[in-house]
Amino acid sequence: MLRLPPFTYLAPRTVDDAAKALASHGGAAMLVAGGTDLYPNMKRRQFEPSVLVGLLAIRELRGVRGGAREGVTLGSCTTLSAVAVHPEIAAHYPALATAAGLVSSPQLRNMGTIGGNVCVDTRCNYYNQSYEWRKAVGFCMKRDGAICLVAPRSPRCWAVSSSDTAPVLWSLGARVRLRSAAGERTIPVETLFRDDGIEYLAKRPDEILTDILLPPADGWRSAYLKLRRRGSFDFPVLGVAVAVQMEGDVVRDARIVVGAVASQPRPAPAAAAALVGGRLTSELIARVAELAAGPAKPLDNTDFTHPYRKKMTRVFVARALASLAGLAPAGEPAAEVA
Amino acid sequence: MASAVALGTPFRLVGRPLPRHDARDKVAAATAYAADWAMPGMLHAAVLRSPYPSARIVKLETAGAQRMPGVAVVLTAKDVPRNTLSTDVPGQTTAVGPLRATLYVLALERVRHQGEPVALVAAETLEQARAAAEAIDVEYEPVPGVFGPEAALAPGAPRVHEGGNVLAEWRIARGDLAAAFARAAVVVEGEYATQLVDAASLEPEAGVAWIDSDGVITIRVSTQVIEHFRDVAEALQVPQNRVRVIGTYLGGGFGGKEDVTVEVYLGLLALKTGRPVRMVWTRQESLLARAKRHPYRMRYRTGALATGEIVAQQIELLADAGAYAYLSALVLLYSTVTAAGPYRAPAVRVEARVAYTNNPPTSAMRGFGAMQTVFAYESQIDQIARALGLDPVEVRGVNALRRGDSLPVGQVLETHVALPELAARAWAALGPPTPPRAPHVRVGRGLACNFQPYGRIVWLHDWSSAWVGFEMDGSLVVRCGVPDVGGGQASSLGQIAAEVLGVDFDRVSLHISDSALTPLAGTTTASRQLYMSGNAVLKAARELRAQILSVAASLLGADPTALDLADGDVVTRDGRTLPLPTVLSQCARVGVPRSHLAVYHAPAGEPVDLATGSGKVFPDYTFGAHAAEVEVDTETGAVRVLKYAAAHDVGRAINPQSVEGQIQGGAVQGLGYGLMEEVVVEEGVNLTTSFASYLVPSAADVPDVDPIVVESGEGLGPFGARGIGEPPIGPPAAAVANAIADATGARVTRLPLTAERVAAALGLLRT
Repeated sequence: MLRLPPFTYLAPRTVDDAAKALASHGGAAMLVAGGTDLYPNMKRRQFEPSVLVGLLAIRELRGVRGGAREGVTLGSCTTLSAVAVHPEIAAHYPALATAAGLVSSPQLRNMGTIGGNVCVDTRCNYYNQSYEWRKAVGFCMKRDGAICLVAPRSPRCWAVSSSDTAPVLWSLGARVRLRSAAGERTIPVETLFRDDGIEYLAKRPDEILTDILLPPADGWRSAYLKLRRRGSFDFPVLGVAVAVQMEGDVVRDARIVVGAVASQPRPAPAAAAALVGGRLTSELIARVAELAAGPAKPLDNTDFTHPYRKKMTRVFVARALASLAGLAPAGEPAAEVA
Repeated sequence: MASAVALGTPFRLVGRPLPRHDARDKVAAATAYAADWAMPGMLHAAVLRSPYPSARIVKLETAGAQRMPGVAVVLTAKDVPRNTLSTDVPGQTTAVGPLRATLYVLALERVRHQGEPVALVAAETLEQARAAAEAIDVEYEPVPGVFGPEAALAPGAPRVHEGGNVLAEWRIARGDLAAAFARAAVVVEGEYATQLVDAASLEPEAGVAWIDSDGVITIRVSTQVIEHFRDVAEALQVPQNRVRVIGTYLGGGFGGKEDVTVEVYLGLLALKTGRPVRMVWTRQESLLARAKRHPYRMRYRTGALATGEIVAQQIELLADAGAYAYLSALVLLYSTVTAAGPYRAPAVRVEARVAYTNNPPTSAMRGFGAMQTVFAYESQIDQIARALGLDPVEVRGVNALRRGDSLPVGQVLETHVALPELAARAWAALGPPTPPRAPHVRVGRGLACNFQPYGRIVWLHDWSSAWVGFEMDGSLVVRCGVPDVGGGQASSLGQIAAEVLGVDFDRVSLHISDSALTPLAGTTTASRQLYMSGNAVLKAARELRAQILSVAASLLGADPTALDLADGDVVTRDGRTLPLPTVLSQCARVGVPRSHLAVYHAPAGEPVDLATGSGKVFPDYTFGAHAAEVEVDTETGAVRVLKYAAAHDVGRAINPQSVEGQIQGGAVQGLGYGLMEEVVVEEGVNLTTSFASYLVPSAADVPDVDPIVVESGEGLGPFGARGIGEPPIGPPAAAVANAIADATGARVTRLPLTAERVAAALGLLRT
């Protein structure tokens, strides 16, 4: 088996202590919660921090507060399992419960956290390999190297945002709270992400994602569909999050965000705008699905080829909207797995 | 129906689903697998592997690595007493001349595939060993390689080895093909492609070696073939009786542990250091470098009469051997012999070739060349049925081989062929059709039959031996060199011995898989152990029974034929009993052994000329039929298997639980092959070196497999058993492909049958 490189593990009890530890170790330290993504990456030497600041002992980071009427706040270290089965989330933010419940496997959802999934490292066929493999093939710019092996003339890294929950939170209009030794800020979740495979988060290294704030449910309905080869384990190679706010049978507002097709979740504002003011008929859904497939620009650096993933974007957007319109049986989310 | 061969139940233990003797320890995590072994003063080993698929080694400098902390030894090709290994046929059988193939213990001057071993390190800790391996100073000069069998056979292609890129060729020519096609009412043509896959056993390659107090190099290792002690001796240039291999219970083999893995490295390192050494391959290096299943390109042209009767089969096979021969020539032989399927065909041409490339090497894997062809011949017969409007069960019944028929290679089938019954039962087991759950979903059903040899090629003169003996208290000991790969190989032997000798199963102790202390039984490969070692144990137990009963008869003044062994006693027809220990004491007194060593020799024959169809190749075959019901999402191409039934004529189920386990496990592994597994290689570089990218089915991806065990009683194994280790992996890919075609009309001819490929076949990807 691959082994973890040596490191010092700190287990602060408060966010303040964690922020101080992070500040005092500078670039040598990284944050870890469930470790389901970071530890395997460390074994492959994608990261070699000398200090890990563990967040699991911080009680204030765990749990779900509030309700659909006034908005829900999720502590960033709430496990994905807990998010998936939380009654208030399942009832009023169903896309989030679905997405959390589709991450990896039950064991990993029991350890993995919602904050960790939002911040999960971007992925690429040429990056998610052992050190020896990467050394043999030639290191890529995301770690240890200078070029992109997917697009050799590219000045940037094309690693793919592989979070199930990030596109959903974006579609729900969520905000995130970031704290550091220097202070605190709350920002819309979409501004947390950057379109770069390496610097994919706008969060500063000294900042800790402490809370995820969902707005009042307020008539919003939501759905999430995921494409992957198997019924478990696999990261999404396409994730479609849709949210519509209904007023009677007319769409008052809508958001469509597509995951796993770029280095950050991709919104489809034109498609969403086409929904507003209309009724969720099959005709409108077909037109919107066509528009939504536009922004998806997948590269061939995950499972399945990009023409297929792009084609599936249209199908998945249509299905997600149809399920919100009651036009198709919502079914089990797993039934949509390709 | 054919299986109406009356079996009755004259047995006490045979045919009962007894829990295996090794099951409890495995569930309780108490089994000491190869990597669990540790010894005082043990070193840890690492392998340095080539990063390039094709390169010259221009510099290999180990002095720096040798000086690193904790390093005991660094070895390269020049340190290996004899650096070539001959992989003719592993194990105890005779050499097979033309099939003899060579590979290197460590690369010498040239590397031919990514992951090829270049140097070894043993150090005090694993981390030190790995650090030293990384510090070895190697310079490579990449040289042009070839990365597919077509490219390898093209004029002017770079040569992987001296002597050209064609590793082996086989041909079969039977009947007048042109005349047969002229008679055909329908001709179906198809090109099929199967992919490179990995055995993906949960347990990686692992072992510990040490020099015992008598100076014997002892290697405790996860292997399907303890007879590799001979290969170790050859490489180390020591007498064969100075090397001992102790085989552990395996966490899966599937052919991946048929060739030598860690044994020679461990033997070398132990010999050079004088200390115990452990080597465990990481999942990454196992997926990178271990020999895999051959990808095939198959071109089929099949002609049939309006009745569905196949009259002509024209077949071309091309396989990728990767960089070294291993068992490729034999794998291709299995493909050639089985290429036309378990069907009659008066005119058959098979032209089969396997070529060297700079891809990962390929060798044995469950099914061994008789698997890839199932996808092609079952896709073909399904299309014939469709073209003629015949029922899938009916068309197979029309064509099924029968006892007395001869295969295209000339071998006459001497045992019952249950194919029509198997097909009908598997098909019926699917029950009422499942209605589609949504408008975009279609449901369809597919059938696929296969036949798989069990036992070695007859001109390899296969044999197995076993020792069965009573202790003084009447408890029983079985010694047999059988490696148990998890299929219940050892337990079944205990069940056979206990049956014949009238003791409870829990009164049997099984000693297995030790080249020094157990009689050699040959390899746990080729679905041969129940057949071969089962017969050896049966023979030993029957001889022992005769010995014991003759002594008991004299004590009782009875006729030995009127006596039986039951519940640990000798019993007479008139109800008298004599305790076994009493008889055993008497045995000692009168000089009759309380044990017997038996050798079972399989029916042997001379090499046949395949092309002229001159005769017998394998002892016998196991037949099967699988039926699948699938749903296809017509908007995404996603396939879900809803129901699955797998029928095999196993001859006799010695332990039905183990038989069903083999059928279910084989079917699931076959579904992984059919639906998702693929080693992705780009220009010789393996992109799928972890279980995050080499995708094997999870529990969410497989249906319940309904195992249908048919017992014709006609196998060559003990009590009429046939081999069942490999056969169930054959049909699933074809059954699913046929079900997809039934559901949608779209035929996918390339494995795996991913959502994307099905979508393409459905025309969804045209813009």
